[in-house]
Amino acid sequence: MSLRRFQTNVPMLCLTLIVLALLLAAPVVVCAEQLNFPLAAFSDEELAKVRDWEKTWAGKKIDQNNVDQIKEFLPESYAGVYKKPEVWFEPKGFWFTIVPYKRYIETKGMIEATNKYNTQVKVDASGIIQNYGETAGMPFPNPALSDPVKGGQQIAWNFDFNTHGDAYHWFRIGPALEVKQKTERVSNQDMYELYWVSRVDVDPKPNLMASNPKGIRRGYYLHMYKPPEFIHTSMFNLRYLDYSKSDDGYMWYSQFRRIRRVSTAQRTDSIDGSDLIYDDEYLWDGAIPRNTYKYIGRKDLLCSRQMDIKKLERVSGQGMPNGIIRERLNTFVVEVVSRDPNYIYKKRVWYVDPESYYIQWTEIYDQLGRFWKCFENWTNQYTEQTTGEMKKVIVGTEFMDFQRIHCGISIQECKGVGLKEIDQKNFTIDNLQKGGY
Amino acid sequence: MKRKILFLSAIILVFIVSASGVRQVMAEVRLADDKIILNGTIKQTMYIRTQMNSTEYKEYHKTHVDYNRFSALLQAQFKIKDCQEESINFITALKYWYELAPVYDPKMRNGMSPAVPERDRNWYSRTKDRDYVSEAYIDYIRGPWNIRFGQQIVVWGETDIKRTVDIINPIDVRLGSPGVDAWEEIKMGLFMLRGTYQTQLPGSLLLEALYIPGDFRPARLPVEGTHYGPNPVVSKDGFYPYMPYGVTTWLFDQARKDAPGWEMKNYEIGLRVRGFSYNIDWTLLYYNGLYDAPIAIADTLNSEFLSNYISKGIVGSITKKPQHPVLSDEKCFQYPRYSMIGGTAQTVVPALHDSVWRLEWFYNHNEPYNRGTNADSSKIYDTVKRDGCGMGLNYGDKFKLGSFTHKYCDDKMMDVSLTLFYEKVFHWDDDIIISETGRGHRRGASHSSEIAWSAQQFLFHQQFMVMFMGSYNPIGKYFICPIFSYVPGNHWRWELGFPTYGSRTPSNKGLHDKDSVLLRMRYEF
Repeated sequence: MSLRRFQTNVPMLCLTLIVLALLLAAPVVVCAEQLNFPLAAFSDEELAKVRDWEKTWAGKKIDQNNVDQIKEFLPESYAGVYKKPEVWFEPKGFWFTIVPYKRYIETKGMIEATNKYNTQVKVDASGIIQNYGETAGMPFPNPALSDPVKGGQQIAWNFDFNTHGDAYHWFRIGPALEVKQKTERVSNQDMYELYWVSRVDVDPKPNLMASNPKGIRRGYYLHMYKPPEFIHTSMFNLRYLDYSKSDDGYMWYSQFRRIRRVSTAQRTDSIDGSDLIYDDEYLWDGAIPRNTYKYIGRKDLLCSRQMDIKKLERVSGQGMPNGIIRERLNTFVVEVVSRDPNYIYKKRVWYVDPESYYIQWTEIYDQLGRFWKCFENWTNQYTEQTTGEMKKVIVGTEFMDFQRIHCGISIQECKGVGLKEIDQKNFTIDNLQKGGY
Repeated sequence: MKRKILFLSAIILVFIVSASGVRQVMAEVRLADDKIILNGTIKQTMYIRTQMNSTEYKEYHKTHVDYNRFSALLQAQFKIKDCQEESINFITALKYWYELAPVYDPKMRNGMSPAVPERDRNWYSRTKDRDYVSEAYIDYIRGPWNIRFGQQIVVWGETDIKRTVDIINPIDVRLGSPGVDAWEEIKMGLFMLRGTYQTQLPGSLLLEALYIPGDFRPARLPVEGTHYGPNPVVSKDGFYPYMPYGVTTWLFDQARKDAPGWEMKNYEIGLRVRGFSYNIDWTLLYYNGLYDAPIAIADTLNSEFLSNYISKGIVGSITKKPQHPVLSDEKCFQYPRYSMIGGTAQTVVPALHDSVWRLEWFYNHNEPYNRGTNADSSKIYDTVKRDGCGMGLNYGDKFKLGSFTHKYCDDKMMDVSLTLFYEKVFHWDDDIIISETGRGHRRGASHSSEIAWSAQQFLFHQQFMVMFMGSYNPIGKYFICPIFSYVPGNHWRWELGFPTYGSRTPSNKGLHDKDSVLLRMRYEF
């Protein structure tokens, strides 16, 4: 009797459980819908137009002869590079290829962390995050684009919270080029990056350590192989959660065989003959509150987001590689102005990927407001060691100085993303000492 | 003459070839699946003397190029085991040099009393014996441990030019000097067991210990008549037409002969602790070992010098016949044991333009000195031991030079370094001989001070570099050296410098008349 009653009640029980589950899940679904995260670069309607355009252009090689036809999708400066390569002492010309747009969806960890923490983000009246390092994921999954100042700043914060897979190792080949003389000096280095907080993909999450008394946000470690006089020179840099605190940097300088404390506060010093200043790594490498931001709007640009660096073609002394792969992307345009009135740049204009929050392009203006530099990031997706998911990382950057007609390239071979084994000991003096021969 | 033209032609040819755009892609050489990594430098260095006593020039030189050295350094890392838990490497650095000046300048080598004494010419002009191996050691890393066993060069200091606490390895200044040449070329490796252990104690204390089981090598002093050595005697009177070398050579060679070899009783030990507190990186260190520089045994030296050198000179000047002085079999020099405690500290001071400050300090216990009447080294009568202390304080900063930095330096700031040195010997007496040791003391003064500086500016995307370095001692001794460097690509480095020296103190002249033009080309790989 009781058995029969139980059998008849089973469908009822299932139904109840399903209803209950739906009721519980509803707020999350609603919330996710409200969040609209991860964002897509194009709406369906826009995408249809893009696909239509791609029918003509996808797979096409763009060079001096046809760049005019797509120049609206390139920064003016770069369209000029392709149009007039002789300015860059490359009479044979440069070329790149257009591929269809491919949507990038953030890792599950990033989506979960964004959903979990975005409501916990505390900002002050000027939009500066007060509980920096206590949350993970994108702090502003739906930037307030209707308010240019707030929207611009929120895009910047999202850029800042991209932790590049929490632990990333890449090998950088970075020639600084004298295009006129066709000479270059190459710096090669292994680079490791590790996030202490706001981690989304690799356990432990969101914090690397239960206690972080020094308030470390991120560390990077590099080991140099070139130029030859710097062989086995290595250094590490620690960035802190305290916005006002300068990084701590230590270098094992192989020529002098000493561990040197290095001042990291001179962020506008140029780096070893390149066109970069220290703030230019990742196209911005500083505390977000150091600038003011203004969201300008959207701009459809050809961006390199599926770049296989093995397909790049370049001979020594060539200012920009051929074979860059670019796709249409509707970027966020943000104007960035330093709060320091004497800052080396009057302003930067970022073109931010709305799907990954990497800065794909940046245009830089000098103190007199004249256009000066334009840098482009090339990104691609790699499988995270920990999760097996695809994570977008920077695989290269082109740095062009249009005033001096000088450039540099960073080609970054991904050695692993979302890594488990990047050890915190890499970021210690002991490690520098052990590696110092 | 033909040889000189050939040599100069070869140099010009190499310059033209490199300046016309030779480009290399690889730097280091990797072999056996990256298990062997090789890198190194090939270098040609030339000093053209712009200041030379005319009599000296006529007597001893056919050209003003009194230094022209080819040198090469090859470093190799052999990865024996490389895994997460532990790694074992064999590290070695081999070096070779050949000094060409006495080869192409017959006046430097010919005659009864040549500029460069024949007895030291081979020893000075080319790599000999152990000099070939700068370093060769096994490096073992496991967890917090790092053990290194073999011939090594250790750097414990923080400041660049002066060796305030960086005293483990003796230096070889026959053909180079600190600041102008790399430490690997100047320091001599010693066989030692060295280990570090990273503790989990507060301040991230890193413990280090080293033990040198009696491998003693005295400092190598420059050879008479060479660029860095004492000038050859220009006087035609007295001994010198009949003696094959001067007083300095006899004394230096005797000191080298008297240096103890590898004996367990000559052990040296060093301990160091590295930590971080209050935003200061600091080290504390202790060293106990033999003094690298020779200290005269007054009684023996005076008599042996008289009988083995001076008497021969007298005989020569009377008989007008060439003489052959010999070194003494008696011990005339000693290398006494002493100890040191010291430390270093470095930090960044945000309030002072985010400058970097480095400090080194030492306290020497029982440091040996000779005493001579009125501190005259030719009137030595005694040996004493004294305590002393000293320090070097370095300030490093970066500056923008207005629009010049933007326009010509591509926004690369100028690196500036300023260092103040001071030292004092306790329980002083005026007979202590110190002024002639190059430590910057005025005769009869217990203390010395010196300021050293360098300003380095890269230009045109670091293709060019201008450096202005120097030092000044209140006794009137100075060193100024502007260096201009050109880096056309990955491998070739060209340098032009003007090292200028001066001294108002007769007892501490240093290289006062060795102003030169420095030409150096390097190929780095």
